[in-house]
Amino acid sequence: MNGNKAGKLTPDELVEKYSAMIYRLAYTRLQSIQDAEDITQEVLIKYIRADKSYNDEEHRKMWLIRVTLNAVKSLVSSAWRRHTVPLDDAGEIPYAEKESTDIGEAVKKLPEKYRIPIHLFYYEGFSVKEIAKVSSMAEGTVKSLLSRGREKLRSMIKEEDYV
Amino acid sequence: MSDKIKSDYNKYADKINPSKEFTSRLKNTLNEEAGKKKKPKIRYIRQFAAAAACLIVAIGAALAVNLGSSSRKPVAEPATSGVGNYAGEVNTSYLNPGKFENISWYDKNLAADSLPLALAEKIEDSLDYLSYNFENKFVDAKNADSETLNGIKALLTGAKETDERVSGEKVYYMAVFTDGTVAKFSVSDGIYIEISGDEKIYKKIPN
Repeated sequence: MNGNKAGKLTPDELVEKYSAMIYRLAYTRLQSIQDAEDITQEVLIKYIRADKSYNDEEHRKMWLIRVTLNAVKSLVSSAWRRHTVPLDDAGEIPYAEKESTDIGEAVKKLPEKYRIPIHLFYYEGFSVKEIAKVSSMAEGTVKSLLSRGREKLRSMIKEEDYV
Repeated sequence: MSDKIKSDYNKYADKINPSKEFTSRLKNTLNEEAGKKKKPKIRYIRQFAAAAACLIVAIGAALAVNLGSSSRKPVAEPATSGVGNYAGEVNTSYLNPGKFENISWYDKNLAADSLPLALAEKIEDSLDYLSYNFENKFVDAKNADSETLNGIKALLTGAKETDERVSGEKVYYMAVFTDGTVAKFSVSDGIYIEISGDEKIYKKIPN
């Protein structure tokens, strides 16, 4: 891709460049490999069908993340999921070394509403404003979720390791 | 958050990756999707043309009925309040559900507590499509797949009237039937059902 405008990506390029990002975001919230795979496929199919042009890579990334969050929300809200999917359905830590899961276990136990803001802020490097925009929340709400999410993580992880 | 928590979080998240098998399958799926991308446009063009033709015939018929009237009343156009609000991803707008909104999909004499079951049965018998959204508008609504549909039917079949207050996240549904009638309802927290036109709240009773 040349220049500032984001060029078109082939399906293979799309998967190479963005599937992990989408998968990771979905898994963070849903804690289920199957659900994360479903969401990843759904979002990328939507990308292809939308056939949009993007001002730049950041624009494309924001679009993908916004659609991912909407897809996750839709899945979480679906009526039959609440009755048919056990809350501890995942029970699996994908590809993570089990011996280093203090933070992994803490994230798994973190109430769902904190996981996305924490992930977008610390892993994807989003600002509060960007998180608010992409998740349709007020900036104050995002700040509050980040602050409380941090506190909860800190309280769940051994304090002496994080002085 | 301390730098160590941040760095440990990033190390944890770095390890969350889709499997090679999944990404390989995904590439195949997306390549197939990219290959058939153009076909839906042709189908939609045909559907729009059919919808336009039906509308012209309907307006022409209405004009024919009104010819000769000395008052020259304006032709009652099809209700437009629903247009755009009810379009799903698969366009069957020839039904123009807004026109039929005031025609009830159910018998008003139905026994109390029977409405959810009646809705489930009508969905089973004569559903055209079911749209859903997080807001009570359906411009960008998704169409339910078969899994969604089965879940909704199961939910409705087992629901009984409740005095409880509705809580939790709400999802709005619009069922359009082949006879042109429309049923709108919502599901909150996955178990509370409210049906448009009915004051009651129903709750799915666990098996």
